[in-house]
Amino acid sequence: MAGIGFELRRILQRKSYLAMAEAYGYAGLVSSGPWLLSIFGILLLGFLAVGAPPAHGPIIQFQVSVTYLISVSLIFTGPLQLLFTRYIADMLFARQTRSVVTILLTMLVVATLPGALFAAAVLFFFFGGTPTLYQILMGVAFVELCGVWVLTIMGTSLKDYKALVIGYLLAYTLVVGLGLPLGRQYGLDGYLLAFTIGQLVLLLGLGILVMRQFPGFLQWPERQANRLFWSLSLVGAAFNLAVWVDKFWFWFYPSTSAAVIGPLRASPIYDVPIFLSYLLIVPGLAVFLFRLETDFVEAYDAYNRAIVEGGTYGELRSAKLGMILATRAGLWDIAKTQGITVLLAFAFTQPLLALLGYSESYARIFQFDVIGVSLQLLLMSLLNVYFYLDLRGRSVLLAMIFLLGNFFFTWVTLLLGPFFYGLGFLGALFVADVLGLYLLARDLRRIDYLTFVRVR
Amino acid sequence: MDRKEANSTDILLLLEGTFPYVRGGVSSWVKRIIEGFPEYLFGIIFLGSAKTDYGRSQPYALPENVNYFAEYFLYDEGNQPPAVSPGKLRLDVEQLHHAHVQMRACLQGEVCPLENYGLAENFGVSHAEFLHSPAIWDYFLQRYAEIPDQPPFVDYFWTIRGMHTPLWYLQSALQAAPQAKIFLSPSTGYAGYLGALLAARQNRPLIISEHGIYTKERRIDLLMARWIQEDEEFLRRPGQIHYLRQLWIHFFEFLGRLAYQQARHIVNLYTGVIPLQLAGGAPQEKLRTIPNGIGVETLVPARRPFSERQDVIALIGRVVPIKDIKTFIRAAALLRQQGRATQCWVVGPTEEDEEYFAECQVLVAHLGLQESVRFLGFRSVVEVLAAVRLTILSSISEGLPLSVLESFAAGVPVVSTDVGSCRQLLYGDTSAEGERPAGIIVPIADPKALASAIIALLDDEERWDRCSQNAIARVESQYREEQMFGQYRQLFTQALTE
Repeated sequence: MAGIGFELRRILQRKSYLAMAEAYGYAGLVSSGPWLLSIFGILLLGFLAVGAPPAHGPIIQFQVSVTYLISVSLIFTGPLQLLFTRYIADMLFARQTRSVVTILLTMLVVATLPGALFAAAVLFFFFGGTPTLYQILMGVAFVELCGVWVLTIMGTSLKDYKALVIGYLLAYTLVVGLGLPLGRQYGLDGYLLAFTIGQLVLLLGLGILVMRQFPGFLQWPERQANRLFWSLSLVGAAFNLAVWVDKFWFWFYPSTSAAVIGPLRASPIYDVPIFLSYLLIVPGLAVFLFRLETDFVEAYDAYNRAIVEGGTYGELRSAKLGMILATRAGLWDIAKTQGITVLLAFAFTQPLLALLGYSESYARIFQFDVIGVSLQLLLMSLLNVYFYLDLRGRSVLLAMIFLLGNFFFTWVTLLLGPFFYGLGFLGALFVADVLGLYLLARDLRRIDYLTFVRVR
Repeated sequence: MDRKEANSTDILLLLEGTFPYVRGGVSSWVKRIIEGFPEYLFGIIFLGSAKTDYGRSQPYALPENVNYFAEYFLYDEGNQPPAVSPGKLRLDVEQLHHAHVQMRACLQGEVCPLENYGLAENFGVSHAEFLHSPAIWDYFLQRYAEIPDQPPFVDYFWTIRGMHTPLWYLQSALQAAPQAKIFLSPSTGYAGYLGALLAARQNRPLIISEHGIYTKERRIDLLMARWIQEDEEFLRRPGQIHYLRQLWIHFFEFLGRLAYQQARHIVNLYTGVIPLQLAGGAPQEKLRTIPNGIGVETLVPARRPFSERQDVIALIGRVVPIKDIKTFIRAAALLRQQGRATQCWVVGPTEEDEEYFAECQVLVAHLGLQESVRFLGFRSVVEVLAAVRLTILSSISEGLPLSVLESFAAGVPVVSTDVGSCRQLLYGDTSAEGERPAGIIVPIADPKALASAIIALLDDEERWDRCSQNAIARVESQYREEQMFGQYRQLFTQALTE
């Protein structure tokens, strides 16, 4: 399997600006494809459906329901994501491809069975007032999403971005295509039914894709070969929770939210700007994928080769410097790209909001959020570098700071009033990023010491 | 084995890779010394490589008069100390550097002062600090930078780690050891080093009774070691040794020098090794020779005339590279080529080096010798010696091999390589070669010479008879157990009264 890095290099070898643009475009597409398509799909369905007058209520309920489904299922599978990503990476490194399918099925079971129990319990205790059909569809969609995240992680670990994008494209085309007629006919239940069908297709499609790449048997890989790093579980849980904790604050804080359906509440004043701004990290994500998958990974491999293949310390040191330079260049590029994006977003806030039909009162929160999500991207880059360096303690620390910071700072902004909304999210990420950059600079300077002495 | 605790003992034995786990010449010597002096209490500190290396062999039972037993596995990976935050690790690297300079001076022949030298405390550096301290890491880099012909850094790093790790196991052995009146080690190396530290600390005499020359054996191991990455260099300077091999050799040389320096007496088995001991730093006045002895009487029943014996020759010894079993197998092939039906037995444990054993089996199969070469494992020596016509020793290094003495006591002539004391044993002290031979000496690693010596003895019954008579006469006059015990008794009483 040729990695994404290889394909990017191939495009770049044509050495022209167009090729460069193509490479970045491609990187942007594959890195942000899955969630971008999810958001676009749901928003598009909303836009198209609004044309039909009675649909406005149900479509809002649908969008809020899906948002909850996505956020809770992401948090729920968070502990699994990195844990298994690492495990599978180790397995692939040890060339135990025959057992990949076993791990995949284990993951699916570990994600969906407790997911089903969790969904049943939540529906039973909190959704008593909603229609039974709605409850069933919500439960099914939740379990499907848990499975979809597992397969998405799997596709990401296998660096099979293209297949992922195709899978998501198909599924959300189906959601929109089915959602319009079904929604017109059956309202909220119709939209949700379309969503569940789309997710089912996605689940099956991704499953087939992964299994076709790694045919194998149901057998456990050799025990000793791989380890489960439970600290990664903690990182996954903390990070996913951190990403959503400010939203939950706004959804359940009385003065910023309103009930939508059953126990689900939404905060239009916060939701619109933040989802809008997430669309603006696409350029940064493209750079992130591009830099990490090509330059950094190359430098990282060179460093490891210098160690394993018996280089002298001098050779090791120059490889280390190469890695530092690649990291620095990558982070700088992300910062520059997102910096420009932020500036443009600031400059065009008013026309942009007007174009999308949103009120100007979102402007300040939107501007805070654009900075916030850019900082989140930077944090993700830092975490990724730390995953490569295998300094898991650092990842735990940064994810925890993001989580605690976002929880407390957002709470404080709620107390301070509307002027500060969005600043909590931004502040938490700012603290985590500054600390992360400081630590990364220090750790990279003494990475040889860490490789030899600290890491087991 | 279970630990056995005591506060004090008479003679504390420091045993490295031998009794009670590994069978062989040194182990049976240790066993006989313990059992031969029932009036003394013995303590044993066993030093092994990794615990798993000794899992399969059945250990000797400890004799009644052993009141202390402790074992330490110097290369066990299991019990690493926990990582410490580097902030807590402030070390005086200057002092370490000074110590290293002193050690190198010691290798050049200068005296290493054991007292106040910090060795026993590993210069106050804990194992955790050694593994995790940034100061130690910087010292690694500093020393590495000084090497003119730099080896791969990863090899250097792990070599230095591996070299130092045993020191902390030794430190705990040292702290837990009982009071003793005499320290006795059958080798230098780690055991001799621990003996030296103990002797210095308790201010009691250390006796080193060297069976093989440890430093030389390690040198052979290291030169044969395949784990050291070595570039195939074009036009290598002759005699140039890879830096890391040289480092290990120096390390063991240093341990040896320290033990020699601290020892009250340094015993060897035969005069032939005296030049090596002197070169290793042993002072002339401490040296004395006490040959191995055996209980001749137990082997008298195995004495038979040539005609009553089977057409069998035997190599009695462990299946390990130093015994060069492969040369014996190749000689067996030559015997076979000449149309002889002579059976060739290898009598001795095979599990010590399974890889080598497997290689030997492949060689046997490759040469089509499944019919004539047999690995018998551990067998009763009396029974084997009653059956065979010749005993073979193809070793590339030996001390004073017990198997030769036992063979002599049973009246079985020996064909041996020219190693250790074998020439002295087979030809007697008289320099006139072949005057009273008890067998034939051949060069090492020479299957052809080995085969023709075997044929010469098997085809000439008169010559065989003469060798057999000489063998019995020699062992009875010079290598009786009682003589050995007598000399050790004198040594012990002298050391005890000091």
